[in-house]
Amino acid sequence: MAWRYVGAREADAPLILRLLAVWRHRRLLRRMAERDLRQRYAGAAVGYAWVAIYPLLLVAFYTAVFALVFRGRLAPGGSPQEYALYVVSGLLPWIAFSEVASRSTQAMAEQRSLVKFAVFPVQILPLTALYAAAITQMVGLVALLAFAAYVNGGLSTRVFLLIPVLVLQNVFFAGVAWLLGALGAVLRDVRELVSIALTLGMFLTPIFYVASDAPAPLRLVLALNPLTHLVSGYRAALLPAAPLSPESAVAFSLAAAVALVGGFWTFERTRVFLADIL
Amino acid sequence: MTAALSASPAASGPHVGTTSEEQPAISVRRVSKRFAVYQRQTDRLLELLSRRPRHRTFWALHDVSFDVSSGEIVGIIGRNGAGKTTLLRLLAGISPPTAGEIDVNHRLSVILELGSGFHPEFTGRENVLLGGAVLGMSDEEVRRKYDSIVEFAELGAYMDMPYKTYSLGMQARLAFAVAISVEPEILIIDEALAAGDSAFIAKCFERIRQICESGATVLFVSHNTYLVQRLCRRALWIEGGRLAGDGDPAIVCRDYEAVLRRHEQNAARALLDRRRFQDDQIDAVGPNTIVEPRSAGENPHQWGSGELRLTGVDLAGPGGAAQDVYYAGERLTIRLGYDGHAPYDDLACVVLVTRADGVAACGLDAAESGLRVPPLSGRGSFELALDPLVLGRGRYFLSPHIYRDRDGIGAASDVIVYHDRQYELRVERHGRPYDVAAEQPATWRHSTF
Repeated sequence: MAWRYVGAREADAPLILRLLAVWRHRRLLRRMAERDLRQRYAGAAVGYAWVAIYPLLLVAFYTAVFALVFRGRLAPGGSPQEYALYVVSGLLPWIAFSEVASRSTQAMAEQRSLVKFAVFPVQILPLTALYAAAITQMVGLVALLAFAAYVNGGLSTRVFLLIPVLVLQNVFFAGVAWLLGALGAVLRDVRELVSIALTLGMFLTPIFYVASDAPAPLRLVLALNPLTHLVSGYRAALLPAAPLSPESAVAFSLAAAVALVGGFWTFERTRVFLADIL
Repeated sequence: MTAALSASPAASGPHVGTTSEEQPAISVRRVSKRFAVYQRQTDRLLELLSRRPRHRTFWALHDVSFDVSSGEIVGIIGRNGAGKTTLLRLLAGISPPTAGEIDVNHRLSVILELGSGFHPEFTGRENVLLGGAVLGMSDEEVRRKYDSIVEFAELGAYMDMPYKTYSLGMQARLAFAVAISVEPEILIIDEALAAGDSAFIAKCFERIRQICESGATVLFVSHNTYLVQRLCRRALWIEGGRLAGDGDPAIVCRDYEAVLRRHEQNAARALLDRRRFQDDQIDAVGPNTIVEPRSAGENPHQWGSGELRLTGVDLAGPGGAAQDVYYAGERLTIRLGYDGHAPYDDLACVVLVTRADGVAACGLDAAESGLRVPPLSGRGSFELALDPLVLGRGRYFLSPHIYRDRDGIGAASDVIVYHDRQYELRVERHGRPYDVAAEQPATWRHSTF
C-alpha cells in the first residue's frame, strides 16, 4: 500500500511536522468555526450572543444555588462572595472543557461530506469546537476578572498567571478534541459516554468544594484529574487566598503535552479510515 | 471495404498515455480497494475486542492500472456502484488503497460532490469564500478571483441570496465555477455537470479544454456517454471494480452501451418470464418474441431475432472500389449483403451514421428514400448510394439494422438484425482540412450594380 503525492500531501510528513502544519490552516479553521457558529444560531434574534449568554446564565445559576441555597463557604465564617468567586473560577474552565469535549465527538460526523468527498485538512474539524469555546471564554473571562476585582477590591499581579494557564488549557483542549473527534467518528457510542462522563466529571473536579476537604479515595481521583490542576491555576491567579502550586503547574503542563501528542497521534492513525467508515 | 471493428475491452489492453521521457500526471499501478461491511455497529466493536473477523469483505476496485499524462482529458464511465467514485476518492487521497500504488504528481482540485463545504443558509458570496477555502485557496486568492467566478457562474444578481434559494442548476454553476477557479494541475469532476443546462455545459467544456491546453489534466466522470465522447479523447470504463475498457471514447462507450443493453434485455426477459409464469396459470401463453439470450463469445454489438444475417457491409468510392478514406463531394456506395428468412411485409432497413464524438450524423432509411423493403428470403443485398457524400471531415461509424416497423416505434423484440457501430467510415475533404460537420453543396454568385 503506497501513495506518493509529490508536493501535494502533507499527510506523509512526520507526525511533528504535521502537527506544526495545522498552523497553516488557521484561516480555514477560523472560517469553518465561524460557519459552524452562524449555522448553530442561524435564525436566532440575538444570534452569536447566545454563545456567551448560555454559559453566563449557567455560571450565575450554579453559583447562586451553591452560594445562597446550600450556603457554601470556603472556610467557616468566610464571605459568600469569596466562595462565589471560588466556584465561578472553577466553573468557567469546566464549561469550556465540556463544550469542547461534547462538540468534538460530533465534529467529524457533522462534516461527513467534507471527510468523504473533498480534499480537505480534516484535522482542523475537531478544533472548530475549540474556537467556539474560546469565544465563550473571552466573554466569561472579562466577567470573571470584573467579579474578582469587585470581591478582592482590585487585581494583583498574579492575574498574569492566566496567560500561561490559557495557553496550556488550549493545548490540552486541542489534544482532547482530536482524541474524541477520532473516537466519536469511529464509534457513535463515544458521544453518549462522553456526556455521561461530563456529568460525573463536574463533581469529580473540585469546583464546588475544596480538594483538601474531600475524602481520601476521592483525593486520589482528583489528583489524577488534569482539570483539577487547570482549575487550581485559575484560582492561583484570581484568589489571593489560594496557594500557588508548582506541582499542579507541572502536572497540567505534562497532561497538556501528553494530550496534544496522544490526541493528534490517535487522530492521524484513524483519519485514513474515516472516509471509509463515516 | 471496412473490417468489423474488434475493439473488445480485453483486446484494447492497457493504454500507455505517456512518452518515455515524461512522467505521467497520474499513475495507477495494480490498485485494489477492499471495504469491510458490517451488518451492525456492534460487530465492529466486537471485532475490535475479540480480533476475530465479523464482517464481509467487498472489493470495490480490483487490480486497476492506468497512466494519465499531462494535458489529457479522460472520461470515466461505468454503471452505478461500479467503483468510479471509489477510484476518484483513492486518486484524491481521501481514502487509501488496500493494495497497489498511486502516484499523483500535481496539485489536485476535486469536485466529488457538488459544493463541498457550501452551506444552504449562507449567501452565494459567503459560499464562494468558504468553498474556495475548502479547496485550499487563501482568502486573498478567492477575493482576487471573486469577480471572474461570479461572471462564469452568471449569478451576479443572486450572490447575496441564500444558497438554498438557488435552483439545482444554479447551485451546480456556482460550485463548478469555484472549483475551476483553483487553477488546478489535475481537475477531477464527478457527475458535477449533470445539473447544468446545455449552454452551461458547453461553457464548461470550453473552460475544461482551456485548462487542458495549459497543460492540466482532467478526469471527468459521468454516466452520460454522449458527454464523455464530446469532451474526452480517451475513456476508461470501470465495470464491477475492474478496468473493462481503456482507449478511444467512441469504442469504449459503444462497448459500455452494449453491456447496458444486455442488462436491460435480461431485466425485460426476467419480467416476461414472470408474466408468462402467471399467464400459465390461466392457460394463455402469448408468443415470446423477446430477443433470445446470446451464447458466450458472441459479438455483443450484434443482436437481433436471428432470422436474418448481415453477410457483408462493403463501401465503395467513385471508382467502384474500397478506399481507406472517402472524400466529401464524391460518390459513396454502401452495399449490405444479407442471408436468411424474414418473410414480413413491414420490414424497415436503416443505416445510422454516428460521428466518433457520439453525434448521430444521419439516418439513412430505405423507406424514406422511396424503397419499399420486400419480405426477405434467401440471399440478397441492398445498395445505397450517397451521391455526393456531404459529411464533414472525420471518423464515423455505421450501424446497419433491419427491423419490423410495426407501430412506428422500435421495440427490442422487433429487431431482426442490428450491427451497432461495427463499421468505420473515414471522410476527408479536398482542399484545406477544415473540421466541419457537413459539406453543404453550395453555389456562389457574384454581381455588381
